[in-house]
Amino acid sequence: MTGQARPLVEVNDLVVQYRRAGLLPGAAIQAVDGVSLTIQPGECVGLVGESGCGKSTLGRAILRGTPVSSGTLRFDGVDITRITGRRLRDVRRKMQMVFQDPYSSLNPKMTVERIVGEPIRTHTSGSRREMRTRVAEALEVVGIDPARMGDYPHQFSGGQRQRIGIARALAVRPLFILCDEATSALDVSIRAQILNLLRQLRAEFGLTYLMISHDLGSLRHLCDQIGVMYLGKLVETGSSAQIFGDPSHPYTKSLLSAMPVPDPAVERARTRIVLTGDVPSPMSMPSGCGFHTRCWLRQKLGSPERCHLEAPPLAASVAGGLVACHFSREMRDLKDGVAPAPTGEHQKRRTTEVQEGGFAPR
Amino acid sequence: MSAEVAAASAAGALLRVRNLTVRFKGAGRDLTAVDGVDLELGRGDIVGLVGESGCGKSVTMMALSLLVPASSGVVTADELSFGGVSVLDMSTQELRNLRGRDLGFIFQNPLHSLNPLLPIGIQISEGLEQHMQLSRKAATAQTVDLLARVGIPDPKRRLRDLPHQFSGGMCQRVMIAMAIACEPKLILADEPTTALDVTIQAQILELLGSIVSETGASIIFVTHDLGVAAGFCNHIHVMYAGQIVESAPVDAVFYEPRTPYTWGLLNSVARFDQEAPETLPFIRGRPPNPHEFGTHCRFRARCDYARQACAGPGPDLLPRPGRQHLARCFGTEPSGWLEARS
Repeated sequence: MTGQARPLVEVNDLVVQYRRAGLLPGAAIQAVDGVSLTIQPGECVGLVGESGCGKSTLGRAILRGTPVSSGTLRFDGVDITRITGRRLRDVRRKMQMVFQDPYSSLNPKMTVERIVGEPIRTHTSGSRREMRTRVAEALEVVGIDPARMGDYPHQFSGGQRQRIGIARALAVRPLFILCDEATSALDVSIRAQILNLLRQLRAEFGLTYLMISHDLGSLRHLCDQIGVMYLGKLVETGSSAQIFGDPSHPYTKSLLSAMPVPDPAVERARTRIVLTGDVPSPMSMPSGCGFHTRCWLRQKLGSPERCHLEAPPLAASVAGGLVACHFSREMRDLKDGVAPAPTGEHQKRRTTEVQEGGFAPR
Repeated sequence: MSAEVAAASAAGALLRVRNLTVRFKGAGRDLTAVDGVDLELGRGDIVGLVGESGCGKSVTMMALSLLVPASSGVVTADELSFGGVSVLDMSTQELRNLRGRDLGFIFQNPLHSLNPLLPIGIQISEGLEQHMQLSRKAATAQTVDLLARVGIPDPKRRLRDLPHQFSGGMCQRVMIAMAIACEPKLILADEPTTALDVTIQAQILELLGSIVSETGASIIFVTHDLGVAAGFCNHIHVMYAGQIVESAPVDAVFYEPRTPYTWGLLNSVARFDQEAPETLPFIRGRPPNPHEFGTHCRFRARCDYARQACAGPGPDLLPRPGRQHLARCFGTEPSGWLEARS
């Protein structure tokens, strides 16, 4: 998200509106409300936020999967906001997607060969033999035995299916992959395997990722930059280390404090900032700062008027990222009663195999 | 367990389960989904059932209240008693009273477990009329109180609303109001926060915690989220392939795990508050299907520490040093070859 060489993805003031279909269209809902975001080649950017905050819509808009209302999208230097037909198809080859649910994102009636081969058939011309070779290559890369090409999705486990989903995305040698909750539906032991795979593929092929996830641990493990979204807007961006270690927005802070950690001592020592209420409906957007209706910092500061009168711009934060909050400096000065991001005083677990002949000392 | 502790817990035990087994009729052969589970719960206990999908956590929960349909599954147990009364011998009517009054259920997806066509007020007061013998008027008044208690704003006005008019978090609050309506002694919560955002999850866990401290109810809490288990439960059973493989107070499970499965599970979690190693530790392979269970250690094929002994008839769930710590692993038995260092 910082300006360096030519960015791969450039989103500028993007707005996506939805309108109720039918005879009586209601007011437009701003699913994505003026988001700007830059992704450098080889970078991994993560998006977090509660359901309905617009992170998936933003992802899909970047892939031109949902109509853009205003703003511009540039991919690899080319404006793709309005392109159509052949030009759009060419760009789409370079951007692929991995979906959340490996059970519903693979057609149960297709063999793995057809599933992984479909994007190849769509985007390239070549003989059946060439296609099979490329499918085999893609499967090999993700750790699925190419000999199982003729099998159907139900013959694979959840983790293997997600690997097939990744192979499908890789098959056309994209530059950019959107992972929308790609590890959320997986069990922990399998999730670690997939996270490792995504990391390894990135190193191997120089891939660029946009990862959408509510699992902060997965994001910290993979991402260089993080964007936090709330009600269609980016409220904070920064490096992964900064967002997780030194958040500047009260929403980010409460999100981190609500995230459970598998460590009973840390859990007991934490003070949670429990946000009251739900995310406001995008149909009745709050005035001023979108977060003010649930903001604990505003309460602490005695409900300053500015919060509900004036929408804060996304501006440089002291911590080094960007933040949209009038009082983020004040938050940093608050030491009392605010949950610090828990530090990992985690006890290291190690398994040791006792030397042959020796009993386990206790 | 010392004789004293055993006697004390036997006297206070709310739920005692010995050798609970659930078999489903599969194609050709029977599949054992839950194999010899022992549980014991005192009042006010929050016990976690932790494990990956398909390990039998949810089936165990259903079996505890004999909710496994007799047409597809068979529940057997050496003992399954609630407050000292055997559940297995109960008549249909007694079972209905038990489920309605003494047990409360909270499921994963509140929108799927509420009747979409019935106002939520009726769904809650139904149980009150049925099991607490309240008049309709009294039940409605009580329902308003319950909704207020679980934090639904303006409860009186919302009685006639249908489930779809509530957000996910609010629906889960309605489910909780329904679950605690008849002041149950035991709440069975099956992944109650999995479908919710973390901020809403924190609200719901806080609510459940306050209900436990106010009413003294016990909770069996099924989750695959180790973080939630660490923060919410005081005793944890780790399940793998239909069996409990480790059972211990929460700190012991996290800091002194005694099975390679628990070790592996804990190590493979990517935490947001810690820099993870370049390559995350992981457990290779996948959990076995019920027809692959066999008689040996069910984790053997994925275990980095397995030896010849592990191919023999499976290890039993046996005590380890420390209070109430049980583990199912040849390697960490006193004669074994594994030790956990913390």
